[in-house]
Amino acid sequence: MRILFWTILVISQLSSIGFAWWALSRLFLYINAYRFDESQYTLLFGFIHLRWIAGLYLMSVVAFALFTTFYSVFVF
Amino acid sequence: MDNTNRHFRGQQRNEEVTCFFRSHPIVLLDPIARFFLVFAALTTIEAILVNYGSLKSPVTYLIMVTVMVIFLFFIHRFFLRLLNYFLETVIITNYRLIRLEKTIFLRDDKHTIDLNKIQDVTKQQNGILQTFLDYGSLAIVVNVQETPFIINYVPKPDRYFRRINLVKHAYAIARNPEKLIQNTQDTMQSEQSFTKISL
Repeated sequence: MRILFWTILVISQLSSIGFAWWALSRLFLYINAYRFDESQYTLLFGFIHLRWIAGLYLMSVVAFALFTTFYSVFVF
Repeated sequence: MDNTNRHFRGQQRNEEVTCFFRSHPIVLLDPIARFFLVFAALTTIEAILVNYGSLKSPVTYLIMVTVMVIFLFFIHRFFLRLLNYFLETVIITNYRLIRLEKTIFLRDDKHTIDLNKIQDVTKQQNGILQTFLDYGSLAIVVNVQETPFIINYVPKPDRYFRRINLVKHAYAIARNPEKLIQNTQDTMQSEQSFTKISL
């Protein structure tokens, strides 16, 4: 049971990181195709940039992968 | 200056981007609320399992894996929704109005309206929420017999309503300066006639 659990855990986390990387690479293509001068009228809530969201996305996915791995080690 | 593909793919040689805008952030209220609700629910389930469940039971393992996968799904869904917010853009240039409806994976739509074809622009801002948060809709009539092209959740709709009318007027002048001079002369003559009658 533990082996199955760890297998699912590792596969799902690696897939998650790979998916996030793929999504951000597609986003990068878009950013290169559409180059606008941002202002307070176009940023999210007037100050949040797209690259901040992209960085937070990647960090969240990696942090969640690390957290669940160490959490599972200590709990199980 | 050659502006071909300078700011966006398909930008023409003498085309300049006047301004662009995205949807009002109110559209993100639903995904943000759902994410935090799911986060709270899954965290609660996880805490109950750890404190009260048997860690050697296969059922516990199964529930933990399911909770983890569901949480992964919602993390990706939430951030993709945030990223997709930036990909939906309305661009106003000196030639046309372009609406980009794009997502990272599933969608890539473009709608273009030539400024010369715009017959009428209507701004709609109804209700408490729209008034206090300053967002609304712009309805662009291209042909009287067709349904208007509606852009919802426009932030500061008055600003972009005036901007569209300005660029449309400037575009009309650029395309037909002789007609503008003739119209101006006709207007002045009719005003002079009106003044004479009044006196």
